[in-house]
Amino acid sequence: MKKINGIIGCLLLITFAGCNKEISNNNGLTLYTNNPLNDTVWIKNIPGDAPIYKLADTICNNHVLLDSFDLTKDQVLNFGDSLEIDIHANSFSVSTNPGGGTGNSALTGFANIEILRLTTRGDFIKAYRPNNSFGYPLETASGFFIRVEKNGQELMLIPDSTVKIKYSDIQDPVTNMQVFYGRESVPIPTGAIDAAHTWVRDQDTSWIKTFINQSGNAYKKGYEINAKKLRWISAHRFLDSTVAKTNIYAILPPNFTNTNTQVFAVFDKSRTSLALMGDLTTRSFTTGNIHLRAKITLISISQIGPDFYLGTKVINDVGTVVNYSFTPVKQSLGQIIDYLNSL
Amino acid sequence: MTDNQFDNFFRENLINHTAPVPEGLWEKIRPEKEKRPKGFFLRKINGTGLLLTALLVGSVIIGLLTYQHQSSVPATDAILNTSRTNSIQSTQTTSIKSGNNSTLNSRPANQPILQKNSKIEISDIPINQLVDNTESVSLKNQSVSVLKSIPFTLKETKVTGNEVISEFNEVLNKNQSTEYAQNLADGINYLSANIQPASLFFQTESYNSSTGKVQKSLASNGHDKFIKSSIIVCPTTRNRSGFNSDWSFELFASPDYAFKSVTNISAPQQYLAKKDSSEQMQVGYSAGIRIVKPLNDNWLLKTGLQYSQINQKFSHRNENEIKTTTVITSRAIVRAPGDTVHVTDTSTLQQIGYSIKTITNHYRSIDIPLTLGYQFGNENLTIGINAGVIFNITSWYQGELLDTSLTSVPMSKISNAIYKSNIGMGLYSSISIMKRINDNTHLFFEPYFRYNLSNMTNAQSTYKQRFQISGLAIGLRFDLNR
Repeated sequence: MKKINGIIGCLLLITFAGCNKEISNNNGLTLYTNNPLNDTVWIKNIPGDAPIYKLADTICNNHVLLDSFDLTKDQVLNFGDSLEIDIHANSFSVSTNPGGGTGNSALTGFANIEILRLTTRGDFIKAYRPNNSFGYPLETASGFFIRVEKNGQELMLIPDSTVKIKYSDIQDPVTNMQVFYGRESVPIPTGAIDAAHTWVRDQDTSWIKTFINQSGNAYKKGYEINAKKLRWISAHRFLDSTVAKTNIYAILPPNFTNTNTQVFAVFDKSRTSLALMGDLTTRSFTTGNIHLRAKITLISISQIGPDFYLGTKVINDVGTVVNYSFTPVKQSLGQIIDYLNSL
Repeated sequence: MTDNQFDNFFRENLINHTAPVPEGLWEKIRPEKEKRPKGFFLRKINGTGLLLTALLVGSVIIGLLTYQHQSSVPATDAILNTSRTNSIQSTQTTSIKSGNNSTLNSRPANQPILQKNSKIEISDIPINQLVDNTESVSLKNQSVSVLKSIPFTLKETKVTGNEVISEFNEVLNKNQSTEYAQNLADGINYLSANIQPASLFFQTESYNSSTGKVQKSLASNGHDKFIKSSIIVCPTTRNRSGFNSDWSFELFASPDYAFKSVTNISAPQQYLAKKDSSEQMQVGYSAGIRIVKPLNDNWLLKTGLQYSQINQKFSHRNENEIKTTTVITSRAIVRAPGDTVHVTDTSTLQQIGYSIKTITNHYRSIDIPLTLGYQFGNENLTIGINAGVIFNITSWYQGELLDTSLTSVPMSKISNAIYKSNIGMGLYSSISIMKRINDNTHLFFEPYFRYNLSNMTNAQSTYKQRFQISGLAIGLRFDLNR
């Protein structure tokens, strides 16, 4: 009996030896060395070929308004019924330093003008021109990018010349808006992102003139900006400086670094969008001067490889917690732009 | 009459009597000199003891299983007329012993000696006391059993009263003048008058109860030693005009190795090359049970049920695999000098790369084998050759394989589109080597090869695939009706 048991045992052993346990080696992932998804490094000086630059160029609003005019004549260029550009004769010269000052001798002939209009918070985000002035949040009443070119050469306003921008705003005009100009790097970057950008208030701190025109039962309400410079022009005002402020930190998963992600804070009750800059030490995105008790929405836009990511985080009461974590999700470029347009 | 007169009478007259030895008898008798081989699980066993044990057990089984039939009692020095196969069986054991028996000697003259369940010792008993005229003693259901050391041999299986009388007459003719002869004559008269010629049949059912008495009687008279030294158990006499009534049961398991063959129909060559490189056959196994029906001493039929599993290692490099890892990060955020906040955040890290996915595919099936075998050898070692067919009942699959886009997909999702649930019939051939490990159990090793006649892929598949399987079945055969 013992022998039989032994033999049966051997048979069973052989049988079970044939039962190979299923092998799975899914955990043995070999990483691609150059794949952007595996790049989790934060960089102090972001190179020009970083994904965020490509992302900015991709989502930048290219719907510019184009027209041409005679440099020697006073003209009013109408772009629809909500925007008028009054151009005075002999006001343009060759720009040797576009955006940096005014030229001296007026040019003649025809020039082309292109206008990019920034109306909503999303427009400022898409143009990567957040509403802040040296770190202080601004409330905007639209902004413009106006460029005049002749024969492929960008022109500038001669001293004491102005361009009047009369436009209807999406909100009722307020009286304490001021003219701001966008500061740009020198030389001007070719891409959408300009690390040096900030809105600089015009030396003339007077309030921008508003208007209300009635046409039948319809009213046109807006502002009249007398711009002394071309390129980035806006109507802004500082937010209430008496309110207590704080810094906020946006914390994203390790895949989202300062090389592939831009984070913005959009205010709920004012047309303000702020950029949160990457903080190398804390691997987070941060900005200051956020009003306590403000309701804001954090928005992250990322491009990792060919994929786009959008992250949002609604903060109803800034100040209770200063760090906010959220995880971007993969979205198409169209979905991201639609979302930004809805802001 | 001396003690040995009676014995000598039978010895002298019947000593040269012989009975035919059944065909195949000696093949069934295990030579005592044969020793069991030594092995790590087969211990050396005393052959004599094993043989005697087998004989004793066999005798009992024979008594249970035998039926009335022609018997043949071998002529030997001492004969126990309890053949396993012959129909002669005792219903009552009459032990005949030389020596005095006060009971018998003092018995009244008209008292019958042969009574049911009685024990009679007749060494000194006149022959007329063997039977009693005054009492109806039916020998039809009685037994004639063991005689001391007398070579009492029945010529035929069926012993009739006439034959006994005839034997007695021969003795009488040689002893006319003795008292013994007179007694013997009385016995003959009695037999002639009371016993029908064909009444000395011995019934099986009575034998069982009498066997023990025989043995007991023999033991008490010292005859058991003699019987032990000369006992022979007759082998099974098969009905040679019909089927062998033996059958066996096999239990086996087998490590298998499958050989894959693929034929392209319309699949891209790159796909087949990739598929072939991603699949590597591994050792599988089979297990099952079989019923073995011997047709005769050499030919046998086998059928049963078996489960087979072919294992296949599937390795595939999966590109752009994304691995998500939960990470906990800790940050020290300085909101203002002296105002540091430690932030612990749980998030996920995604990494991309390639992985070598290695799994084991299982191709499982349940089959019914039907084989015809020819075996030869001796009781101890048998070699057989088997061939037949295997009918697939059902097959199912588990694992992954490449689809035409070179992506690994679970086999369960597309197996219906590629593989059949029934792969049909296959051919089977094997060589078996079987070693007896005890009376009814054999250990066998059976290398085999299975050739599937049809493809396991269906008509929609862009390639044909089939497996041929070789293996080594190791199992036990249990003789269940020998």
